[in-house]
Amino acid sequence: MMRDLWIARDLAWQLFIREISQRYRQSVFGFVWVVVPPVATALLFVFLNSYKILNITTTDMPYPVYVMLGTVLWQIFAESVLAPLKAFQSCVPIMIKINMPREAPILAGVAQVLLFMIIQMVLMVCLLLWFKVTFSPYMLLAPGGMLALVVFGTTLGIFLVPLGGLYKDVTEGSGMFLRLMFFLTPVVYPPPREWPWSLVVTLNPVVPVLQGTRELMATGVMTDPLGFVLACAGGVVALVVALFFYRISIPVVLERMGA
Amino acid sequence: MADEILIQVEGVAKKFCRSLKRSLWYGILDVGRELAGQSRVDQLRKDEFWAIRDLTFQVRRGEILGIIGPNGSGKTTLLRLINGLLLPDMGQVTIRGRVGALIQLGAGFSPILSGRENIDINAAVLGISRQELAQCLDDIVAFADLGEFLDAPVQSYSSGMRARLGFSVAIHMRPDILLVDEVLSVGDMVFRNKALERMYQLAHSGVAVVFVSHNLGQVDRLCSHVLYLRKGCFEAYGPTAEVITRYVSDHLPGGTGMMHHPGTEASFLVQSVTLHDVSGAALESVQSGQSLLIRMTIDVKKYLKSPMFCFMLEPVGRSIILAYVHQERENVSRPSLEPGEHVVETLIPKLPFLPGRYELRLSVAGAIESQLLGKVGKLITFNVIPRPGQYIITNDAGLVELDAQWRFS
Repeated sequence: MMRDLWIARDLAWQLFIREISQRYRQSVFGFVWVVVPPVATALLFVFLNSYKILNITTTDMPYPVYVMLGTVLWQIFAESVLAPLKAFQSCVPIMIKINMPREAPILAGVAQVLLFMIIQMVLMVCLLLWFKVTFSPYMLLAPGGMLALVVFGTTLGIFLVPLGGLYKDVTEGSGMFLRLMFFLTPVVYPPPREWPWSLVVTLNPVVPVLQGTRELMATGVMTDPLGFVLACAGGVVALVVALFFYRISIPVVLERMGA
Repeated sequence: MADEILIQVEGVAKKFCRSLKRSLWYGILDVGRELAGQSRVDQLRKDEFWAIRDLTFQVRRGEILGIIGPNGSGKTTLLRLINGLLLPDMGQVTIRGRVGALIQLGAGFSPILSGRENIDINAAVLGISRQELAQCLDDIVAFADLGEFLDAPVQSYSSGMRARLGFSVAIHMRPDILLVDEVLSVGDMVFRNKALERMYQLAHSGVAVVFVSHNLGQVDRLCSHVLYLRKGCFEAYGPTAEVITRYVSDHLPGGTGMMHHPGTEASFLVQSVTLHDVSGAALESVQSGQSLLIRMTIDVKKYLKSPMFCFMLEPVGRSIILAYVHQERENVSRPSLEPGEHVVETLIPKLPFLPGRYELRLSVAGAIESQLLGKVGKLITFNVIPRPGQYIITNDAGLVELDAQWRFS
């Protein structure tokens, strides 16, 4: 399987270039669209909070920083959940006609998410400078945390591909699922501590990673390093399982899609 | 090496489902079976049917196999099975070497990117490494011959131009096996001939080619063997001329009888046509290079003033008229015919046709401005057989022999 991924890389790169140049050739603002949604969402919550429509006071960093970092990190996760299916669907017309490495679209999707992540990182560095957050060398670990989010999202996304290839319901449903998850994950509010609300934290593997990365970025200190490491390890194992699942199921799925 | 089998198809069967909803559900079940490590279901489930059944054949290096058959007979499905896009429900497909498939040209062209950018992507999709592409990029561009359109977005291309681009990329990937599915139909004549020529060259250099087409002329020109599919099964498999003849006789309208074109009956009806040799003895089949007498009995319905008779001879399955035999040329008188039965005899002193199956047609024109009086198709179909000791080139034999004088000095 590793060998096939290696063979697929050349094609994946071309598909990645194709997607990017396609997306931005018909657009005037281009990459601005990557930055605008998280900033807009964050600003909205800052606004709601400052007018006391929401009442969030207990974050251990300035609330705007908390929200901005949270939404950006969430966005990275959400993009990586949707990327595999999107990339797969854009390649279906080719895959049902030409026998090519089936892993290539997934790799291309991940590459897009990584590009997206790098742009977001620039945004976040600007943000941290703006709020004059004191620098700590641990902050340099933050990209690792973001990668972990990409692993989580991609894993989930890969599991969605075979079913999503067959039924459109998955595409519709995953968007709604992510919107719900956004509110069920402590992105714009601090993690709840009293039962039963704390279930949101304990049952959701994304929380330790998102929370940990945010803390790394803003303060350089992680409150739950064990949870972070366990979740990351779990994520990597799940990713391998997901790739096997994908490999076995995709030929059958493609047949049903008109190959 | 020359006899190396590149494609081996053994007892292959594939089923499809008529209902989309059910097909998707079977997909889920099949994924489950694959994950559990179980084999495929070899029974038909509800709404399923066999698209391909019990096919066994092989293609060797340098061979061009044509696949013909009516729509929905499983031609494209077979190509997809060979290409590995579909996995057989039964049997086995074994492939040796790199497969270049032109199942649909330009699959994966992005409309808003330029032709040049699409070459990069298409090459990667087909598995050409970047070093290889750098080497043959000039050839690809030259063969596609798109001029300044190369840097225009593909959405501004005509379908023929897209086909050129796709074909050009595919043939330059140095495949061992080339699968071509009815893709040349959109190209113009010049390109089509260029493409056929190139496929022939590729086969000559040791590529195994499988060619699906409805254009029997192209199949005839290109292929050494032909596989005729019908409802997913073999109908015939063998040398090109034989199989094409079989295919055509299966699909000629109206079975074996004569066909009077509408309006013809008002002027005349052909009652019988028989073939004879010069002495008048009836012939079942004609020897190549011998004389042939066509004896036709017609029932004239109204007075025909100086009609001109013209026979057309057509090799079965090749949709060309190979020869005309008409009165004008012989400068004979054109007697008028009273209503009633008449016998018309035409003698061809030396029939130059090579062995094969031929069909006779008739058209009759009137005296005034050669106005068409009637047409009859399929008067008779007959075989031309080789005369003893005749030299025959078995493949690509041509259709006629010409008398010639040779001189050496």
